[in-house]
Amino acid sequence: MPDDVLDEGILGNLLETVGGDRTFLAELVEAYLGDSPGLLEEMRAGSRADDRTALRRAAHTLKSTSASLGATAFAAQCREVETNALEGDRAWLEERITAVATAYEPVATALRDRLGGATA
Amino acid sequence: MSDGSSGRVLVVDDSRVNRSLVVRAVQEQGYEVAEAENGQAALTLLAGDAGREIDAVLLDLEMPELDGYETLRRMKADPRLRHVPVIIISAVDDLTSVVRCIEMGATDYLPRPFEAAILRARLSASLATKHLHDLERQYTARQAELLETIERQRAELAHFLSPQVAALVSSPEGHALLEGHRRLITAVFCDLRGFTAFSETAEPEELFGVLREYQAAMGELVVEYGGTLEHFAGDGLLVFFNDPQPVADHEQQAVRMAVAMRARFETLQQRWHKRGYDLGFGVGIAVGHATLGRIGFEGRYDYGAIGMVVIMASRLSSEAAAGQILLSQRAFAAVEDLVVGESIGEVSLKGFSRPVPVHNVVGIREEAATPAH
Repeated sequence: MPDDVLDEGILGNLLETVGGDRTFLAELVEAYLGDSPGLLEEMRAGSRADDRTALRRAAHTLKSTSASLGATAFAAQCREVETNALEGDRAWLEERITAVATAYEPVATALRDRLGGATA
Repeated sequence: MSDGSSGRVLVVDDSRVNRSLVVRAVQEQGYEVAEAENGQAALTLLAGDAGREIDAVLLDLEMPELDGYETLRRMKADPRLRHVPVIIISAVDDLTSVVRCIEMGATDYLPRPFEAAILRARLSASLATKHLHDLERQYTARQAELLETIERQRAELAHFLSPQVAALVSSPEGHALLEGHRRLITAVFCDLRGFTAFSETAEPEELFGVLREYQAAMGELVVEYGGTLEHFAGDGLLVFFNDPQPVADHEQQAVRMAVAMRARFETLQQRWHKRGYDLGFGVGIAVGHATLGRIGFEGRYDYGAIGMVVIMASRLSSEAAAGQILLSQRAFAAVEDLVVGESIGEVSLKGFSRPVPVHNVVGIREEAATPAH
């Protein structure tokens, strides 16, 4: 089931880039799980305050960290918000942000299951 | 730094997740790593001592404080950082920003998420380029040293020759000019009244002391007014204008120099007078064509002028009483508006078949008194 959430090819590359160091990847996932809720909150707050720049930056960061960790589909959802952040319809953006927040949970679970194991 | 698998890489990324991943991946390739969390921090680090050891920069684009574009722009505008390769880290789906960065001078880009093999290839290519650059810079520095040596020798040479002649000797067109050519010049000849008597009675130390003071003061003015010093011979001094460097209004420039020399001489004279030396200063100025070029023999060449104009200046100088600046007819005609002159009448000069009209320069007209340059 996590197959749809995480890209196995990217996870393979990721492990190779860090020289097969699973402990490091577990720490990296912890950092991601620690930062992401804050980024989601910044997106919501940016949207509420109509601070388009803040919204775009938070969406951008979440997109790129998620992409790095193989959450390709989720990263694409973040990118949709990022690219429309400055000029997109506000109601539509809020709807997309909610969708991103909903999609985050399975990503977090999958990352914990798949890469967080070494520290557990 | 000397081979593809060593070097120090600066990783610039505001996201700690992305940054620590890149740092780790770069370390895994055998490089040392420094990190910065935005462009401003990166530039601060690069400007410091540690910055000199950075061989490549991996740069994220979206960052608070100072973004990647501005960081890149500033690096490329800084002569000390221009040569450091910058690899842009960018999402695979954002190639427009990559193109923009390459245009701004980025070396390469690393698509995110990245693969170990691609990171390795990008880093080794950039570091090889940097290594080549370092070698090139060393080479350029050696070239610069060599040029500096030549320039120093030229400057040394200028102590012995007139600066214009020294410049001519080292210029590409110099050879042709040295071969000899005709040109209209203003020749200025000066010497001291009472010098022969003085040299017969003075102690050698006194004699050379006076000559040194006199030559230093006059030499300075020759340079200031852009004259070409042909030679100093004891108290005699020959300067010409308009060769080898062309001088606009060379007749006027020559007269201005002579008047400045006379004023300078008066200060020297007051000091010498107290020591009991009785010396005066006379000048002759003539305008005409001369043949100029290398005169002499192998091992000892001078840049000299030959022609009636030089002889005329020398004869006028001999004719001058202490404090007089005597002008030939042609010289006076060229500076009539500049000077307050007085006619001395027609004077018979040795070597000239007919008497020539001569004018003395009393001073420069107030309204025409402008600086040398």
